[in-house]
Amino acid sequence: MAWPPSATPGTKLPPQGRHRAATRSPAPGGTAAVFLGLIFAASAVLLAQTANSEPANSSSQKQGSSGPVYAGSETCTACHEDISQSFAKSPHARIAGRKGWEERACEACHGPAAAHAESGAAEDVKNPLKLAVKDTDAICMDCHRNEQTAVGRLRAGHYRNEVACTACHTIHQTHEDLVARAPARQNKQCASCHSQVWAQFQRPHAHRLREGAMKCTDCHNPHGGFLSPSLRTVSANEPNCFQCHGDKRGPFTFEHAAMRMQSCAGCHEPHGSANPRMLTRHEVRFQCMECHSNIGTASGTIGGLPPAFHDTRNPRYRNCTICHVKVHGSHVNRALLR
Amino acid sequence: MTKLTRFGWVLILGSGLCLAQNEQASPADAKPEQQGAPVEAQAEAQDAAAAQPLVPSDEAAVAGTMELGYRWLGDVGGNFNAYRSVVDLGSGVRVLNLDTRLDDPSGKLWDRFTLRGGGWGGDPYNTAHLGVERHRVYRLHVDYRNLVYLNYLPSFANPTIDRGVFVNQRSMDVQRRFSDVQLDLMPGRMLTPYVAFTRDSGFGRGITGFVSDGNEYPVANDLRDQTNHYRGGVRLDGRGWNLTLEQGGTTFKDDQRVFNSAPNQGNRTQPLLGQQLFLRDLLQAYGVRGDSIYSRGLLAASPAAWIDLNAQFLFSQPSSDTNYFEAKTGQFVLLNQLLFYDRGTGTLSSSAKQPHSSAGFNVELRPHARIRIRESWFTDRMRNATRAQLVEQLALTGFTSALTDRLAVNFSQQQTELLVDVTKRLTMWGGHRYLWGDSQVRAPLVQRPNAFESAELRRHSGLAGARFRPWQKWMLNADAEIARGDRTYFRTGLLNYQKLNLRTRYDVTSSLSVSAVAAVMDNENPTPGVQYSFSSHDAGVSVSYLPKGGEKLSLLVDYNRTGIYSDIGFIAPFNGQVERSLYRDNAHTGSVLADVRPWKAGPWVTAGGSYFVSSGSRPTRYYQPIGRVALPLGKYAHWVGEWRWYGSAQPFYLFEGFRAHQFTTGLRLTR
Repeated sequence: MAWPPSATPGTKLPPQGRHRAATRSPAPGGTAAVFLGLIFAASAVLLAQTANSEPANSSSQKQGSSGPVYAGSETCTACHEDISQSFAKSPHARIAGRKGWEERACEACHGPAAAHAESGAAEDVKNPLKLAVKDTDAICMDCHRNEQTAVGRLRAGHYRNEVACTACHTIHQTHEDLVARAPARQNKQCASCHSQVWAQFQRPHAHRLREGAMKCTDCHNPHGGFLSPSLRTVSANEPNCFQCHGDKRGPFTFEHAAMRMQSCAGCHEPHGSANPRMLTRHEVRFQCMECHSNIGTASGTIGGLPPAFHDTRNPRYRNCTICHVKVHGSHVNRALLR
Repeated sequence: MTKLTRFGWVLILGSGLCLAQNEQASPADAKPEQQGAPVEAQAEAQDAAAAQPLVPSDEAAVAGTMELGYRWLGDVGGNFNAYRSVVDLGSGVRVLNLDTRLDDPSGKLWDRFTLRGGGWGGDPYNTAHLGVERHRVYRLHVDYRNLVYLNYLPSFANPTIDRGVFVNQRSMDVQRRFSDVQLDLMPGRMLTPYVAFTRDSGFGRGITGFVSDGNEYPVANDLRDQTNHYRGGVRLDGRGWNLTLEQGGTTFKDDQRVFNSAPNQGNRTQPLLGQQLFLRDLLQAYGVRGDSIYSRGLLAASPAAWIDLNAQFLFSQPSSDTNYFEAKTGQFVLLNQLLFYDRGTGTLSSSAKQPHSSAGFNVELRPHARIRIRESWFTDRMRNATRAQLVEQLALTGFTSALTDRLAVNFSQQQTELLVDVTKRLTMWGGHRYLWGDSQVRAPLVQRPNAFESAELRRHSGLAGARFRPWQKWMLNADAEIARGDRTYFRTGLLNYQKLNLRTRYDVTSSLSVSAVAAVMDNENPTPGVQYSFSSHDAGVSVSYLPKGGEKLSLLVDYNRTGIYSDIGFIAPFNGQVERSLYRDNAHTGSVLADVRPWKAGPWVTAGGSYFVSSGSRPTRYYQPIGRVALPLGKYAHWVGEWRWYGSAQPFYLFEGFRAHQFTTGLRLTR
């Protein structure tokens, strides 16, 4: 069986050969040990493969004598001229440069469309916008599954909640319009679903998203990451907060444990707050005393016993950070005073 | 003229020239017609074909939008420092927005060139982004931001400032600059090397506190820090797998200085043991130098159609060395020795090292067309080992102390989920998550020196959810989690909690859609000595009305209602009685944006804004209405006029309220 298939429009090909998920045999069941063994064996095999740069979508398509028939991009353009013109500017148009898809880039995602070309019926062709999410994603993942951006995909909230790639990406558009990149546009797009998060940015103390100085993807990776909730990282495995707040990164000679173990969100509400400095409490002393409670460590928690003998009725002691100025960690003083 | 301003003008002129040269753009060279060519020949030429410019040659070489204008800031009513802390937009000429695309007619240099930016000319948030790419040859990203961060809110530093006179001791007026450059070579090919450099720096002035026994003094603070990140790596794309290997490093320096050169009475107004404490001269000089190496390995693979897996290993080892010097004169006391002294010096040298490893593994199995099984595991281990030597000379008395510190945190998480497509329109899932970890940190000072305290984390969570799409126009998503634990690191940490998220969207017509979200969460820690209770709720509805795709009218309306309730006890340090820390926040947030454009090439009007009103522990009202008019001035230009108003008030801190009008007029050039 030769690959690539004939480029002649109208040649019959096996059903959806490029969508491997639909054509390969299912996995056998088994115990966890067998399962893990399979995974590692598979990993070893794939790592040992001498790969070539042939597109993934071509790996399993085989020429046959029966099955759906491709119409060719020219046929598509005859009716969908506006989409075709837009598509010509899209990075996805590059698929026409791949073996086997030279004359049918449209059908790479929409599937064989000869029947649709003949009947004009919408149900005779795939519309990824109207498919089940996993089927839509399967089309995209056929090419994009194994990309660097997909490494956190299986842990992503978007994946878990079945948000299709097409919810954010407009496939026929140019690189700039394929997905919102300018801060204002992107924030608007994210807000269309995460309206409750955008509402937090309307509070007086917030990161500068309203002003267009930042965008959601500065902190979050919508494709997923290993930190929750899909937070980006800096310096390999540190929270992305330190990308801009490098002076808080440390390591400090005297660490504030909460900063390392609860992350910044332990005290700050990064999306916005009515409290100065985006704190989660209205006064600093409550923020501190909730952990440094003087109650002790019998409960198994840490930080319960500071030397907190100050009279907090006195205005001098109403704000712990007046004295404990290095609350994120100190290079100099154990009590975080310098 | 500052460098920034100069750069802003260069940006303006450059963009203007780009926009002006449209007329001279020559059509791209005709591409060889490939239709009908043999498949083999096309296959050989695929790289060349892919490298051709994607934009048809008859299009303009430059396209995009640029908005230039002048903004007037009316008299700011109320607290100007609060206005600057929250809004901080001033008067002057501005490049309000720039979003351009430049095409290379020859197709040899790039097939994508984009330049975006905004806020140039004096705004506190200047941004610029450059993206240039030639497919399969190179990809270059440059990102630059310059953000002013001013925070001067007396209510933060001294909540009772309206009842006493205390100088603000925690304020800052700093700039943070961020630059990021990344160059990928041969993107889209099997082997893609890349190099990148990022610099984050901050500098500015502020007020901070200097603490000495018995008194604390507001003093000047000179902030200056810089972090450089270097990284390089390679991405390998194989058939069914992708491997990324990266090696990087950082350098860090912090040269903060704290100083005072005039008599400073501090916050203590009464003598202590008959002596009036004061500060005359102070110098604190920090010299912190840090560096780090880090490594990253990422693997994504789908060795078979029924399995996806990815794995990552991340390691970093930041370290820092500090040389600190302090000198002070005035009148001070050492309370534990009842020693009064008039001058002192201190030097400290310290070092810290923090190896930090993380690893994760995720797999999805699809044993049946309707069944997916997801398994993920993640672990994160960090150690911080430090040592320091402090030498102090207080008048004639000298002290030398050797100090150590330690922080160790181990965290792991394992999660299993089963997803079943019950029907074509209904997917349900359930699963289990287990988190565990342990930590060891330095004990508080009241315990014996060099003692440590430990805590553990143990929590099981049940996961469930569903996605229901009864028909094309309606989608409903539900996600629930119930957790039970017996150990947590902190009193306010998650322990026994349940949360539920609902999200739905209904497309009433092709132009009208309604979506709603609701989320509730409760967290309880009944452990004696903790007794923490937390609950939050969040509900919102959004309406989007875009008849004919929003060509003539678009209307976006959002309303959100949130509530937070938190209750935990602590022992008041002054009388030993249990007090409660109660936090309440009941908020309403709304926004409306209507865009009306009666004729296709005619003027358009935008009106709307947002409001935030809350009650509870810190009641707040914050309004931001906006009105905007755009009138066409020929084919490529519009005159734009805009009015904004900012109004903020917090009844408990009325002295921090402000009101401000802004008017902007300018040109919007579009091509």
